[in-house]
Amino acid sequence: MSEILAALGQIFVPINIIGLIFGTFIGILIGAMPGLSVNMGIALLFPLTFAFQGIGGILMLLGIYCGAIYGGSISAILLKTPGTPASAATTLDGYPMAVKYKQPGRALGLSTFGSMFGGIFSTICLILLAPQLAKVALQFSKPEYFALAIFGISIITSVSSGSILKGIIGGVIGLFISTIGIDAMSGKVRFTFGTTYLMGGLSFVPVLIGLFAFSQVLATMEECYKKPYEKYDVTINKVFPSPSDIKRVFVTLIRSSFIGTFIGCVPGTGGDIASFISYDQAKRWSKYKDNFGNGEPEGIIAPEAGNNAVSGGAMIPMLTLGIPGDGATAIMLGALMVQGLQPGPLLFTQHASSVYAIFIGLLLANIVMGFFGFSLIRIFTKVINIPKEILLPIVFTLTFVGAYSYNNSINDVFVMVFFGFLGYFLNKMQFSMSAIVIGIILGAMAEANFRGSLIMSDGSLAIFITRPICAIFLFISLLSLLAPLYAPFIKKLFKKAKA
Amino acid sequence: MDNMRKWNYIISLITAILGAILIFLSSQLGFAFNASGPGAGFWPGVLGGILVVLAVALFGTSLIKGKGLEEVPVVLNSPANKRVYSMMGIIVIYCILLKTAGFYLSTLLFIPSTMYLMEVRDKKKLIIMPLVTVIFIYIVFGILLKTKLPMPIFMN
Repeated sequence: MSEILAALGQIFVPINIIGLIFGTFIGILIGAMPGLSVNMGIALLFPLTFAFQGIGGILMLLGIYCGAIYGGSISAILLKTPGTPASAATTLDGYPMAVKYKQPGRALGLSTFGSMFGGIFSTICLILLAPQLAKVALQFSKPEYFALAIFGISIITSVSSGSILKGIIGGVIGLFISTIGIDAMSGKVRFTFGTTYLMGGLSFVPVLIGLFAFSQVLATMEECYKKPYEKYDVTINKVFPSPSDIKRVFVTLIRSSFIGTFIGCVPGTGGDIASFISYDQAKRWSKYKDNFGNGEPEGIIAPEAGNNAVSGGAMIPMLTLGIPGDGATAIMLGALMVQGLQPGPLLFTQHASSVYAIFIGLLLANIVMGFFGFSLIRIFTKVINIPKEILLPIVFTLTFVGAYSYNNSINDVFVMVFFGFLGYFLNKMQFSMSAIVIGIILGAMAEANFRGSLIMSDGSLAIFITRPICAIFLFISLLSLLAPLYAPFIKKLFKKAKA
Repeated sequence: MDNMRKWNYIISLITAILGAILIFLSSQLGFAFNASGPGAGFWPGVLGGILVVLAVALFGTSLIKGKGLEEVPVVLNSPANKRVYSMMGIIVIYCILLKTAGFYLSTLLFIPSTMYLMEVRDKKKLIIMPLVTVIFIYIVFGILLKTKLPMPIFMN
């Protein structure tokens, strides 16, 4: 009880509340604009968190996270262009309801309601489950943490990349980047090539901004080449869902929230997977199957509840195990570490009030998001009309400011530009930026625990097989990486069994 | 037109070279196990070895099963790409100017250059947008957040 009170004391400080509200507002704007993604928004605004004391910066990032996932539905419904990949499924029924049936307010109201409900639902699950998982994780030792790091990297590479091999290459490159600098165990200097700048390792923030934000802006610049500017005029009337709509979609709402929360817990999966699976299940179980794709309310509620429910689910492995659930939580993991909070089971004992502050902050962010969605939707719809030739130069400038302000170092700006250019070309070659970033984040954990495990076992690799939890994680990692080899055989077996 | 199969061969080669360099540099740090555990070069050496294996695997899969990859185009020389390369050039110049002319002066040149590259020709927009942006950044970052952005060398 005292930790909850301490958490409330941390949150209800004027600057922190302003940060949360500001973050949610900006997050919705970022999500609503096609060409800007959730990860990009968080990466871009991450340097602002340094201005906050304590948990304030994390609260702002939580607001951006929730707001951006929801904001993607605005352009998905009005333009048939999802603002973020997580809202791709919302276009299927959101756009027909808005345009064909001329009910944009109803569509936006359903998406707001679904997003808010899914987010709050998953936060409640986070509050109930995370402390229990943290108790289990306290049993972990070095081999288990090494296996967890490998598990996190393997799942993300297998799910997020166009090619698993390229995903693993990206993950390994990320692991290598984390070795640059002074080796903590031996004190030797590694891969600095005589430069003082690299002695402390490559700064995480400029690499992150470069890979997620800067490269994305370059890609958007390419996509919008010679595309004519189109202005969209929309009249929004009733926004809050009617009682009959709520009754119609209630079961779908609960089901999709469960799906999103569960998928969020699995590292490497994100809002896009959750939204499509939620949509698919909603269609399968609905009494109005034939209406899907034609403006069906359940077809809007399902993906939106699913994608926002990912937010709480993804925080469960991030807070308890230090394994990010998706790219956005990977950035938040970095933000927590910058604030001196090391995610993992000890976070729940050493910084319990900060953990509860994150729980309550996520709950508040979803409530604020719903409030903004219902009251200010007419303002947010104006954002989709900002021309790219005005937006992109501003975003470029903000990436430079963000990279510089981390350490007041011009070298960080050069690093960001380098990784931005690299990220642009790697994206074209179907590499996953998430895999590289996760490799960088988990690299230190993986190496330290690997070497520590070998010290424990006097150099014997058998320690990774003889400890059951470690062996299970490594086995699952291997299964996920080899999936493309055996998955076709399993599919054939199922087909034969059905026939 | 370039296709993904061809680029997979190139990526395999670059990855293998990177892995080999990593193994070589790591060997100079030492692999040997001692009282404080494996040497400083052990883990990066392992990563280098994995990169070489992955490079061979990527090359092999592209060779054997890569027919479908020939249908996947990799576009690097379209007019849209050339605009991005021009933008990269502007960015490099901007980085140089950041060190010499400072943030605010450089940004007043950078933003209209970028807008011009994106075919904005309205003089009012080319003047007003950079000014508004720089003033906004000065107020938010310079005054409110007290962030010191790069200054011109003649003011250092």
